[in-house]
Amino acid sequence: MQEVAVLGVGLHRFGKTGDDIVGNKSVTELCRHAVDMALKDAGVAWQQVGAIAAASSRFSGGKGWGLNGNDVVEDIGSTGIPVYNMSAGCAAGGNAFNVGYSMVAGGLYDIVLVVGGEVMPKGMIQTSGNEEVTDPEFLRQRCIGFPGPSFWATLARRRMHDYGTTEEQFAQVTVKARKCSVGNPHARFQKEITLQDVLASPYVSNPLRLFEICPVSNGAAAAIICSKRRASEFTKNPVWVASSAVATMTFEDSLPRGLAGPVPSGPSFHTEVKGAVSNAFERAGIGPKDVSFTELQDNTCYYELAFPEEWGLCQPGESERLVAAGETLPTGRMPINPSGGFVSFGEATTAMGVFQIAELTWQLRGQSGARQVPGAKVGLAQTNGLGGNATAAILKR
Amino acid sequence: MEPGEFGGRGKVWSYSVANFPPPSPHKYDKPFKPYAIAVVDLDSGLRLVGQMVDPPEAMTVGAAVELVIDTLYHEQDKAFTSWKFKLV
Repeated sequence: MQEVAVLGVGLHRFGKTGDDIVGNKSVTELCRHAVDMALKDAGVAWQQVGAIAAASSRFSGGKGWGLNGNDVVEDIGSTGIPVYNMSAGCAAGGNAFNVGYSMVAGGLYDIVLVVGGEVMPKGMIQTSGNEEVTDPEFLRQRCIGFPGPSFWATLARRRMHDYGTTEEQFAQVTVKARKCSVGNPHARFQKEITLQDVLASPYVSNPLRLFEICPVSNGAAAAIICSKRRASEFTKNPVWVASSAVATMTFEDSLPRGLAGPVPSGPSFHTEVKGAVSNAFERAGIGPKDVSFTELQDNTCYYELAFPEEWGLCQPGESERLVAAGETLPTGRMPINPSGGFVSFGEATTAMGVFQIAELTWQLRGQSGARQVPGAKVGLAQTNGLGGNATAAILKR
Repeated sequence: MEPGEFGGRGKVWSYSVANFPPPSPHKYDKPFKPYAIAVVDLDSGLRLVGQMVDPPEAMTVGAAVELVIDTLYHEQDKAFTSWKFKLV
C-alpha cells in the first residue's frame, strides 16, 4: 500500500432545476464544470488521468445504466482509460472515492479522477420503480406508504423518547447548519434562518419539518487523487488520505429499513455507518478525539445529533447541549458540517461523498473563508445509502 | 429454515407521520389524510412496520398495539386491504 494524496477538488454549486444556479444544465455539464475545476486545482492535465472512479446514478445521465463515468470521458476526451462506475445509492460518491483510493493505494494507477453528479427529479425520492410483489421495497411503499422522511422521523421520534430531545432542539441544528452556509459559494442556500422560521415550516413527517430535511438538488463534485510517488510533481504540501473505508449493515441493526426484522437485543442504529467510521479510524490510527471537524450525511438534523454520539465523538445524549453551546460550529470543539451540510446544499445523491472530499480538502488547506475550522488538521467524512451501504474517509494535513 | 408463527400483539418502538402523500407506488384515497406509521416490536420477537388505524395524535412510544386488517385504498369499487396496527 502506498500513501494517496488529494491533489485537486472541484464542485458545481448546488441548485434546483430551473433556478439561476443550475438552470437546465445536464448532469454532464455539471460534471464538466466540477472536473475542470478539480484538474486546474490539481495542475493535472486530462491526458495524465489514469482511470476514473465514478458514482453511478439512477436519476440522471449514464445512458440509463449508471454509466456516469463513461459520460464524463466521452464529454471531456476519450483517452481510452478504464472507467469504474460504482452503485451504492446515496453512498455512491463515497464508494467511488474508496475504489479510486484503493486502486491508487494498491499501485494500479497513479492519478485517478473521482466524480459524481446529479440532476434530481422533483419531490420525495421514489425508492422503488419496480411494481413487483416479491420486492420488499415495493411492498413497503404500496402496503404501508413509508417514504424516506418518515424513516428518519421514526428515528427522531425515538430519540425524543430516549433523550427527551425537543422539537426546538432539532430546529436549532438547522439554524446552526444554515449559519455555516453563509459565505459558502458552493451551497444552494446561503442565508441564515431563525428558530422561528424552522418551527414555522410545515411537518414533512412529524416530528421533522421542511427546513430540517435536506431537499434534493442538482450538482456535481470531483477530486483528483494521486500516489505519493507522483504527488511531488504537482505540490509540495498535499492533503493526504489517512484512510477510506466502506461497510454494509449487520444483522443486529434493526432499523426499520424493510418490512420486518428481528427485535434487537441492544440499541438500534445505523450499523453500516458505525462499521465504516470505525474501520476508517482503525486503518488511519486516528481516534475520535483527533478529529478536527466532521462532514456527515445530515439528510435530516437528527443525524447531526445521533451520529457524533454513535462514533464516540461525544457522549450519548450530549449532542443537544453541544449544539446549544455552539460547540458544533466551526469555532467549537466538535465542529460538524462546517460546509452547511446536506441541509444547506440539498442532496445531489451520488455527488455527496465527493462533495465532502472537496470540503475536507479546502478546510485542511485553510481555504474555507468564513466557515474555516481554525487549525484544521484531520477531517472525517461519512455517507450512507440505500442497501445498507456506508462510507467513511479521513483526510489529514 | 423452518416456518414460524407470530402473534399480533406488541409495543410501539417508534412512529412517524406521513404528513404528505408518499410518492408512487403508494396508493391512497383522496383527499389525502395524514396517517401514522408505527414500528412495532411484536411479543414474538419480530419488529414490524405498518400503518396505524388510529390518528397520529393518539400515538405514543411504548403504546400497546395489535395487528389488524384494514382498508388502504379503493380502486374500481374494490377495497384494497393491508396489515395495520391498532392501539389496544
